[in-house]
Amino acid sequence: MRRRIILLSIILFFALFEPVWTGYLRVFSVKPDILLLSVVLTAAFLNFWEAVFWGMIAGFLKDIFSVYGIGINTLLFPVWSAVVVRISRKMTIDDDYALMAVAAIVVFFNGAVCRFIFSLSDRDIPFGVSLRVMLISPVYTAVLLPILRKWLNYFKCLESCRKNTGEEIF
Amino acid sequence: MFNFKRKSSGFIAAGCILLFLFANVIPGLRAPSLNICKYPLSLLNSVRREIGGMVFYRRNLIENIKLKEEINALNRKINDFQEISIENKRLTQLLSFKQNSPSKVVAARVIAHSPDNWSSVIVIDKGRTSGIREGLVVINHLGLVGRVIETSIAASKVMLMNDPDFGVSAIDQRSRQEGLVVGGLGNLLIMKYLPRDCDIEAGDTIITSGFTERYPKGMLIGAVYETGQEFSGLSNYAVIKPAADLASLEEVLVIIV
Repeated sequence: MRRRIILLSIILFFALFEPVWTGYLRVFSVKPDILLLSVVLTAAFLNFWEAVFWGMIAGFLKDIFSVYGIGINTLLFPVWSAVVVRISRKMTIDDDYALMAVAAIVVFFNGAVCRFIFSLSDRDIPFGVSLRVMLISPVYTAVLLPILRKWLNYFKCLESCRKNTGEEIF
Repeated sequence: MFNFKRKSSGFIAAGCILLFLFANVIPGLRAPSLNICKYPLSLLNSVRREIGGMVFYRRNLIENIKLKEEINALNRKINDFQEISIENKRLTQLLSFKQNSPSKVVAARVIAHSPDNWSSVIVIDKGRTSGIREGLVVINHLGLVGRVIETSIAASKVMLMNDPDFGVSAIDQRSRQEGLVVGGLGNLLIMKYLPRDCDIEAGDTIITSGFTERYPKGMLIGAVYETGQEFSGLSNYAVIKPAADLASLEEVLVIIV
């Protein structure tokens, strides 16, 4: 129960933090995807179904502030959570560099899928802008991962997310 | 011989004292004598201060700390007042624009921005209870900002001009050349479908043409930054710098038609 409250608090905090504060963190007009980053971080510590569930909650919260009412993030975030859980079972992603690489790949593919869906729905985003977002956003988001992880570790949030069965995920 | 020197020095000293006293009695000599006294007095005073500083060191230290804290508090107040003054100027501009505007407008604060990089949307703190409906035009005192796309009871989402889904028919104020202004997620807008021989130059003012529903004619969009030819070569385009600073909006006006 305590673990779920902590997870919900983390996701709610970042869901509200992103629309208000990330505007100040723009680099070349690109913002970091803090909510997706928190999903990747927590998914690395959770079991499969929990990661998918919390990914869906995070995606839904992000869609509330989005323009496109299709629910892209509600569908994509659980997928990325599941992918991160699978990766964490195949290889060790305990250290910051491995997690940063995973986060960068997830953010890149998230951007690519979004761009693809927009092109199908006649939402014309210039190719140069798409390229800028898809290249800068993964790097920028991944660079923030150690800071976010340190901050969550300070409040012992990630330790509380570990499974109670005693089996270490990595 | 020694007696003579002692006697003469005594006479000289007595003479000086008498002269000094005499000088202070006579007003005309008072100022020069005061000037002469100034330097030894200053010296004695600085010695007194130094000794006082050593004797009253602890008292001075406490007073120093207290005064520094007071200065910090006052500086913080000054900063707060400066912030209030800037906000006051901004709101005064907005209010005077609202009062002079012929349309009925509702002022709203921006409370959030879009969380992703694929859209340019803001959330304002007014909704259906304030008369805001979907499709209404949003402006500020500098020019056009966007349009309302979603409303709830107490909040609304506004699509900004630089969102890719935004489009408004516009004309060049000087040459009356028509085109379509669309957003591209950056800080600049694109005016498309301009003929190859169009008369548009950098610096021209772009305003709404009135052909798009709900956008009144003559609303300022921005100024031309540069022009160019489309990749296909069939038409030209113009890059527009929006008049409103879309990256740092704090208050907006919604035109209630």
